[in-house]
Amino acid sequence: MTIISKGLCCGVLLALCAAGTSWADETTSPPSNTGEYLARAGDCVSCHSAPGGKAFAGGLKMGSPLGNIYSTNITPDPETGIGGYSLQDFDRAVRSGIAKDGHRLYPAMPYPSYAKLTDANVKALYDFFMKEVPAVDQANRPNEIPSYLSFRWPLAIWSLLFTPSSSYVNKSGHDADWNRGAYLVQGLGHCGACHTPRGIAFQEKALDDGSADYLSGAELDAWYAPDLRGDLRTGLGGWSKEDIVDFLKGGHNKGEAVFGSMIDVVNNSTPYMSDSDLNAIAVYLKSLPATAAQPAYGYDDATTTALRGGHATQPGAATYTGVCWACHGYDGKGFSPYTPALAGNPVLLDNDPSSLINLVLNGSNPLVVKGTPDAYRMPQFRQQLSDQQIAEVVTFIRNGWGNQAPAITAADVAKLRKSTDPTSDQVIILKMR
Amino acid sequence: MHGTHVTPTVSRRHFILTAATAAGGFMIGIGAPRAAHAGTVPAQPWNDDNGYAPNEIDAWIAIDPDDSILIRYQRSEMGQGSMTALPMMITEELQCDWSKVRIEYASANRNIREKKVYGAMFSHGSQSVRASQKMMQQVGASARERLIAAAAARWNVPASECSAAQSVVTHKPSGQSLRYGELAADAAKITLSAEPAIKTPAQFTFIPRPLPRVDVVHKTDGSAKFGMDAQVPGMVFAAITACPVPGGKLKSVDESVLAGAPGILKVVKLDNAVAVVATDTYWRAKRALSRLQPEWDTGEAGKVDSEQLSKMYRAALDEPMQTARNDGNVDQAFSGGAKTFEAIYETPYLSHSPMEPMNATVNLQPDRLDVWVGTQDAGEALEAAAKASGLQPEQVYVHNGFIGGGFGRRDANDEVKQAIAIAKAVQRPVKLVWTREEDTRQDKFRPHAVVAFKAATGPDGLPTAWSMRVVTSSILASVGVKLPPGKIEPQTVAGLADNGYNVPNMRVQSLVKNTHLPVWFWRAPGVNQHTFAIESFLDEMAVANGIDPYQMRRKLLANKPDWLKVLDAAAEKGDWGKPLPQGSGRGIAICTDCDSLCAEVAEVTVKPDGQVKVNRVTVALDTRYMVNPLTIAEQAEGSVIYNLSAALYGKITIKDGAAVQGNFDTYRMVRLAEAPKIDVYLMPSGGKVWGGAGEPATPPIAAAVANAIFAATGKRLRSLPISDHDLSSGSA
Amino acid sequence: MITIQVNGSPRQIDLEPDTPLLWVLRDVIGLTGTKFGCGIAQCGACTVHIDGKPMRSCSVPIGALNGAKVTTIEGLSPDNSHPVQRAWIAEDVPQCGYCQSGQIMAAAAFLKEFPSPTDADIDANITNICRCGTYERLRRAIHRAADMMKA
Ligand code: FES
Ligand code: FES
Repeated sequence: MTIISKGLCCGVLLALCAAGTSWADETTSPPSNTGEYLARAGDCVSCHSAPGGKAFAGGLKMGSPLGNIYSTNITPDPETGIGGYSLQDFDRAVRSGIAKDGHRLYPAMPYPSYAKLTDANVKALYDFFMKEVPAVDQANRPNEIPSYLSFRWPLAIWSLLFTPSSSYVNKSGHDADWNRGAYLVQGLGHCGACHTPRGIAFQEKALDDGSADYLSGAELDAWYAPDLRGDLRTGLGGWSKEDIVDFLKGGHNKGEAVFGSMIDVVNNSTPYMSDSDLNAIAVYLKSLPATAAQPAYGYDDATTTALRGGHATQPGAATYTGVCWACHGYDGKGFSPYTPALAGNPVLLDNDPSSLINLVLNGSNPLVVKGTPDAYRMPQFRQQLSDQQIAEVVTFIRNGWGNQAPAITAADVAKLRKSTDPTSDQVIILKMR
Repeated sequence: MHGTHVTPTVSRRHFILTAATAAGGFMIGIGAPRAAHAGTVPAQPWNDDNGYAPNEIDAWIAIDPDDSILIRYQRSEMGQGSMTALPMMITEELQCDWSKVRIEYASANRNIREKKVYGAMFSHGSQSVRASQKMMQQVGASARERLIAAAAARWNVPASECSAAQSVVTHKPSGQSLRYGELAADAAKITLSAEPAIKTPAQFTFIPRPLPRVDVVHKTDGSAKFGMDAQVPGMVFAAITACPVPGGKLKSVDESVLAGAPGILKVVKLDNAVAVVATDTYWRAKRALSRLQPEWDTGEAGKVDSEQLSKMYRAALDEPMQTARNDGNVDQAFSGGAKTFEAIYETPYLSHSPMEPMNATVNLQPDRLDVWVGTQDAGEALEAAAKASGLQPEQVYVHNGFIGGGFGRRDANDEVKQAIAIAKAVQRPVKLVWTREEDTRQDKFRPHAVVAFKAATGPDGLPTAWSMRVVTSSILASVGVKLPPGKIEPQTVAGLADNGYNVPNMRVQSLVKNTHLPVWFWRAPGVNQHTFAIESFLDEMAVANGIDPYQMRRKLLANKPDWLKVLDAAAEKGDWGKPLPQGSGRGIAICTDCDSLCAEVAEVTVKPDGQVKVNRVTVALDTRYMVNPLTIAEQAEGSVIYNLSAALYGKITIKDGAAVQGNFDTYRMVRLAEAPKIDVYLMPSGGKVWGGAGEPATPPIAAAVANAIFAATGKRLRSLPISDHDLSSGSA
Repeated sequence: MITIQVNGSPRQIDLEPDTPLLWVLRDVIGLTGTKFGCGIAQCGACTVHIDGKPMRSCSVPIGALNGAKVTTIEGLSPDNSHPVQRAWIAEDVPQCGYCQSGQIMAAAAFLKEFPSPTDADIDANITNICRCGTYERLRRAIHRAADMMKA
């Protein structure tokens, strides 16, 4: 009997296997205060490395409303990296968004979140980058922002307005797990950078649980980063703490699978975190109240029966049985936990369909949990399906099996078809050293 | 029902075939072939021993006492049907009972040991039938004459008084008869003083005949054994990834990530690839392989992309070229032309993408190597395996399987060499399987080509001068064949230099520009890409000069009755000139390939959003002669679909030196919903040579569809695939 | 340990639960009639019936199949006599044949739900790839099998 089939006896392990981590080492949880661990938790590597490039040498292209910007070299190379940074310089960059030479960083660097880091954690991170990351001599790429937009001084005002000025302070009335979770989610994890809607100045509308906007879901880069609050249909209301932990640890849980830019987070960050930290995150997220009163999702097998009997006549049903059923099943339940369910999946139920359309058009990049690529991956359909077909099938799945969400149009698909690129099946494993 | 039309008609020689069309061709009616006449082949087609059987008359034929007849088939079966057709030709001469015929692959090993008794073993260039025709007839005729001689000796009568039919030799004067099974042992000892003459086509009584292919029954119950299905005791499973940039080398790979992984036997490093070998399933090997992050040394090739290649090819159009054909005086004629035309056409790299991904299973022992593989050339596979293993060719046994599609790809045997290298490293029988992504990216592609046309037309609107200049890469260079200096590579001008048009001044030239990307034979090599170019350009001239494209071709082919016949048949059966609704159009194209002629008419609808639907395709095909018209019709249908996938969607793009497309989600195929209805008209015209059947219907479809799109939308496509172009009604 | 029924016989499978059914059938059980073409549910060469429904076995993890009944091409009929198989032979559908196990399994399941299929029904439901381009005959064979099933 292999290690994994033994794992079948144990519910939690089963979920881990689901992520395809047949050989991943799930047992070791590094001490949670080392710089390397913190760099994992902050997912520094995802942005500060380019595919095929050296770790932390920068060069990743990131779209911004002003133009393309490139992440920078944060290896200790004295010329091109941060080798010349003192702890204070480093701290100023991480927590205040000001580089050593005084220029203001674009808030693609989530310093409004990192501002909440403790001094000790900043020091640990500094030590890690200075002493453990190999120096790479690689000059930073200039940003592609038109010169009339490139004055950085407004950023100072921006920072002043939108960056909190002190580290996270434990909130009374909550236990240690909750506070640890809050620290990770608000701080290093910078979850709000994607999941919190942004205001007119492109600032996150809220930086903590004091506001109902916080982590209530946001559109970003042609994806919709879902609601992480307690909403029963569109948020995490239907997830247990274990579901959250499974998801962060292996990219899958009982019915959902990670997609979009969250794949980078699971590929490079969350599976490396300790069980207790993941649990703390789950505790904190589960404490965020719903923003809207939603009826709980209930499965309805009428769609299944119609599909199985060959008499589903809604537009999109034919595309479903010709294409989608193979992995997601007639019953819309997928092969849980290996391939995601469509029935009751919060991502399908949200008003904003961007993520869904994007996924169907472009497929999913490979999920790689601790070095092991996922067994199953969503292929792309931009070649095979027309805008109309995608609109129909997405509308179909958004309203099958008890799901309920607004219909989408071919124009919605056409827009995303133009503004997004297909994924690649190439497996990219970013190493930190 | 559509397709090859069922025409209730006279049954001549059990073959429903009638000279019914106005064009004078045969319209073949093929209903449901019955199994009554079936020859058979085992579901596992390979012979596991060294290629001998009891009761052999010779290396080709063995006849058992119960009259069952074993016929050896020396080429490959990838669905083209020659495993049925060649034994049918032997049957024609042997005068034996087809229902008693069993077929098996001839042994490539025996071919080595017995001085190439089976001759060439490859299946490519649509040659299986036409290149074997004389040999097959001779094999059957000799065996028949030896059986007759054996009977004559038994009866002590002159052989000339005896005749053979349905596996029985009869002495007419006395009425005596003997079955083949009773004569085989004697016949085996007889040497003829002279080889008998073979029949002329007019003397055939058994062929042509639409018989079900012998392999079909096994392909409906899962029993047919492909190379992929070989199972060898103790076998382990290998997955491989080669350097994505052809010509690149493996720099390093960190295999420590697989340390302690259950079921992983070994990581094997090859010069340009890494393989992982697992003990129990291919899946395990493939999953483990995906955890490796090999580093490659790709050199300058790693910087190449499609755009650069295209620019380089276009720039090279002005360089000096080799001349394949030069009639009249083109340059002079240009100056006198009433109207001139110029256009550049471009066709992309394509992958073969047979349905069965590349694979090979090998068992390498100190003094014997067994290879199970679906190969289009068992002889070549054997030589390659001998070289790769260091054994003598006599020690190598290639067990050919049914091939899950070849289209030229399974001629290279690169998978065999890899499997042997892996077997050497693990000292176990190994089954190597490529992923679909590997199969696409490590293909040897259909070449990328750029063709520049210049033509002048006279007052009657017909071309008076026509220059065609091609830049492409050399397939022969990829194969390793060096042409003598001054000799032009035929594939670079195929479909152009051999056009049938009567234009007084015509020059066809080509220039070879090789890149790091290997290129290869792809169903109807050369012709498949150039027919799109030449037949589209001709259409441009016709339309601009106000001449119906079909009539333009008629005029230019006026002195070629055989070309005219297929052209007229396609036009007539394809309803050329009949009205179509708005947004629909017809296109026509014609070519010669493998000594056959083929014309096609495509009927296409372009929807307002730009989606193209090919509704119907009419094929008129002249293969000169036929053995099994059913198979020929199937090949024509398949050829149309194969190149339709390419014309609509096919394109390998190069980025950082490597192919971008991987699986079928990025390298799209025509599916049933997009498949047009196809009507095939076979019209063999006879003559000196036999034409091929597997390829000639491939080339015309791309041009026929592109011309139909022009008719429907007024948009002229000068590059493929069609999906690269915006055909929506709003677009320019 | 996962138990599945394959063509009527129970099989115990001791492999990682994320292993696709396809490789269990081919490499562990030795039923090679089910083919590998793409591995990502795009081509249909690996189509089998799971509890009577057509599924693409390359994309079905065995971990989700405990107790399931699987029918492969080898189990469709004992003697190549299923109407779909007979129709396929009558129309001489297969060329290379590699896709055909999957095509036949897809068609057999389809005809249970669409006993009198239109061409549009066929287009929407039979999405398997055939590189040899046997679509014309395949469509005819589906109609023929439908007729045979009714007769
Ligand atoms: S191999 Fe399963 S669909 Fe292609
Ligand atoms: S018969 Fe060859 S792929 Fe379908």
